[in-house]
Amino acid sequence: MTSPVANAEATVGADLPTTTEAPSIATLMNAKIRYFTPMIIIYMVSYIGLTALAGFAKGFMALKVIGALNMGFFLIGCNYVLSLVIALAYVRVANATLDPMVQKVVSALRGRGAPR
Amino acid sequence: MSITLGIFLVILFITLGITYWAARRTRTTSEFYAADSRLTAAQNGFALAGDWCSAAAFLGFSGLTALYGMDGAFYALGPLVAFCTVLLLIAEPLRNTGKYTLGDVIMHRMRRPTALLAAVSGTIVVNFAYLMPQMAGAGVLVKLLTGMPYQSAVVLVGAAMIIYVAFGGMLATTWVQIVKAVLMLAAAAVILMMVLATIRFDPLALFEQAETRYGPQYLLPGNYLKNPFDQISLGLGYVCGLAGLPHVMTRFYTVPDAKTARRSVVWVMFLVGFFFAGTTLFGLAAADFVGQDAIRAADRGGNLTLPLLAQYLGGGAGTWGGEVMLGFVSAVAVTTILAVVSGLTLSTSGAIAHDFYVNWIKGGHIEERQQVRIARVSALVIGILAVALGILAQGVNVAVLVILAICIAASANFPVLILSLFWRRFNTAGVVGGILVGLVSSVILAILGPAVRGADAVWPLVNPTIVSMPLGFLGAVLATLLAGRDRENESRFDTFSLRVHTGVAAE
Repeated sequence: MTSPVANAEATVGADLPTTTEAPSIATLMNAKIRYFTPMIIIYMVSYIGLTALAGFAKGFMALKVIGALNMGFFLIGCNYVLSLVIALAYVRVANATLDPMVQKVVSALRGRGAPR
Repeated sequence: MSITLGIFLVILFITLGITYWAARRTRTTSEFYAADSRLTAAQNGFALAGDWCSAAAFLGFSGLTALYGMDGAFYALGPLVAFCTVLLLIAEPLRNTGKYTLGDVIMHRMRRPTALLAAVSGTIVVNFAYLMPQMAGAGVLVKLLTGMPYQSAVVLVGAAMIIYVAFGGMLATTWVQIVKAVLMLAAAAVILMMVLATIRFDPLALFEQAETRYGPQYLLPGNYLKNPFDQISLGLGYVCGLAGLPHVMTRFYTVPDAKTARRSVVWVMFLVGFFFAGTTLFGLAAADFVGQDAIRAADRGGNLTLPLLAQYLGGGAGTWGGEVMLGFVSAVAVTTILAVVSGLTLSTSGAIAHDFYVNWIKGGHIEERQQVRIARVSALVIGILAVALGILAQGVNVAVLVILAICIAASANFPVLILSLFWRRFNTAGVVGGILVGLVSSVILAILGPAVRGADAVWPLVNPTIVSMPLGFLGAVLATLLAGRDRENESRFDTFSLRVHTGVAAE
């Protein structure tokens, strides 16, 4: 293994005990889990839940919301909006909170003489 | 019908011109497989839209809605929600760890040729299961739209695809996808405006007319997917399967960094979100204006719903406006297939030439120029194989293969990718176990089910994802635990995570 990637890793790897502390990758991963687990649960449950309603609760899906528009189509519409809202929320968190953390982790590493 | 062929030839001419331009900029492996990772977020977003919206999306969703009501709307919603999974879980990690393929990511994590081989099998099976119905669909569609014989149509599409990929690599493939996405969205926007103008900008009128004409049952779920578990399977298949499709993953290697990968997913979500929501309205509008009987008369599966709606909106059959609209939408439908099969061919070439031949057989010791040559030849061979399979598939119901492709992607590739990225103890045995169990259970259940055996089905579901995906995860986890601990692999996980989350050491 003589590729630049392998070299870079060897250098970073030598650093390992310290990379898991400091403004570290562990903090970053915890932040990701904290922010994104609720988002994942929200869109998974609402979408898979909707398909379950379609399968098992036809009466509920048939309730009229406005005019001929029934609950099923209404919830499908809501799910479109929800998906886009989740996407925008993710990008907002990633840009505002996570990117600066990534920057810190990377610059801490470089400070120790890791490549780039 | 000649208008369709004319417009299609113009599109073909433009895309071949792009390929000539791209071929002169495609010399290294990085240029061939990943357009040198220099695309912008908007370019990649449009290309993702082009990659993901097959003819099934462009023609099928509106057809299903027109004939079966709400189930068609479910088919259209899933592909958008699926991008949430891609955005939150895999887009940035893929960019940070991979080079050209899924095999790269797995190899990077496991450093074991056996793991690489498992990833290659997952990629090739999914891609061919997806490619074959696309080729067959191209044959049927071109024949239906232009009157050209089935086999000539498959050969024409195959030849164009081979030229794009073998000469122009990822750059040409990307631009074919962008051209297709722009045309598709333009067609959708024009049709949407015309539909809205017809109903005086009151979408509720579409539902009211549909209910009056076909009864309240039409607007309820279950007209197409009779078994409730099939509804859930469809949802699961989409929401996890998209993230396991190798040709979609490949798109994230074409951007320079994680931030661009992230922004490109937001682009595609807004583009296809409006498009997919549109297909539901188009389906209802077609049921209202054109009528289900006329739609069934043209094609029993409803695949000509959108062209027929366009014809109606343009002024009806026989009028100048109607024929131009019909021709335009039909030509876009053919272009749609071209873009998808090109992406599939390129991604398969990555698995065969880059993962299997260069990295597995030769251990990576091959000169750069030789690698590009091998990649081009593999694209040619895959293309010829795809044409042969497409011709063999004539008259066979290949719809089951589309379901199977997504199902295997969700049950084999997705668990292995997720566990590789996020589970410290995951090891090579787990990769092999996950791919094997996910793949085999998907195939067996699909073969036993009603999609293949019809009324004699031993197993009740058309789409087995609801069972095969948990089995894939289970296989991966059990194999990992049974194989015992691989301390060396676990100790590398910190370095690997660092790269997954920050891109440090990423090229």
